[in-house]
Amino acid sequence: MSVDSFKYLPGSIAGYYRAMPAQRIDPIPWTPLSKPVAESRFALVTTAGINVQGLEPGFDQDGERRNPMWGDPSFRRIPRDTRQEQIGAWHLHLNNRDILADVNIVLPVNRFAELETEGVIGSLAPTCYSFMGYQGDLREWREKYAPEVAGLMKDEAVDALLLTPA
Amino acid sequence: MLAQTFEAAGFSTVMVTNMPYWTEQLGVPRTVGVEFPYGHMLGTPGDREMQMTVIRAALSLLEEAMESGTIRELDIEWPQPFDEAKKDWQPLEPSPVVALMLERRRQAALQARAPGPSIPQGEPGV
Repeated sequence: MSVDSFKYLPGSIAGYYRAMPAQRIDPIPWTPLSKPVAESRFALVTTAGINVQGLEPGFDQDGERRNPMWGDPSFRRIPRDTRQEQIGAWHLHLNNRDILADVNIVLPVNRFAELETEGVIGSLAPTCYSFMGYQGDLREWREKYAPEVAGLMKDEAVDALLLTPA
Repeated sequence: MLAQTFEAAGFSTVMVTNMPYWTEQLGVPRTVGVEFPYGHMLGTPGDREMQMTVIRAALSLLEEAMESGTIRELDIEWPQPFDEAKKDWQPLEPSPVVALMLERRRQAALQARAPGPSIPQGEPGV
């Protein structure tokens, strides 16, 4: 593998991650693309911890400060026509400056709207989603919030997803 | 985790990540690996061309990957000097868990420097 997965981590954290045991899912789930990209409807999902100001509250930073081992497991809706100045960013493990300058670096709503116009993709769904990636325990994602988002995406007839972790 | 859950729910997913090591360990359906700093998986703010290059690679992988666990790496150099980029993505204040770890380390260092309990030198009078 040529991409160094630990390149940008401080040394102590890189060591911690390298030593962390991984539980590989086997078999890995697989949904083949049911139609060409040019006919598929996309939604975008990021764990960059963003919201649309005025639509829903931000992620719970105070809760994480009270219990540093906990991260807010809920999600936020990001409508595709959201304007840059409406974006809020709540990830305490990132410098959010660049996301507040251009949300497309984590949730490329403008790029996908352009690809829709060009006919490269079928369409971008009305709604995209953000989680916040610092999670001490993945149970609530797995059992509650991810199934909830899956249901919302089914309602909007989504076929395929682009995911960006943070 | 989210990729696996959504894929199992009937969506075709592609993840763009700077940690393909982890997606390989955990088993993610389709991965595009980029050597970019955290919080910048599609490139630098305002660079439409760079963002589109990564997105087009992800769309190609969606169409071309024939089996789950496929990883494709992109050879795109991050435009910022490494030392600057490594510092730049990090929060201005340490995150709560990092602050907690630093405080624990500080306490442990203080304890190590403090005079410890006296070591018995043998029975008196012996």
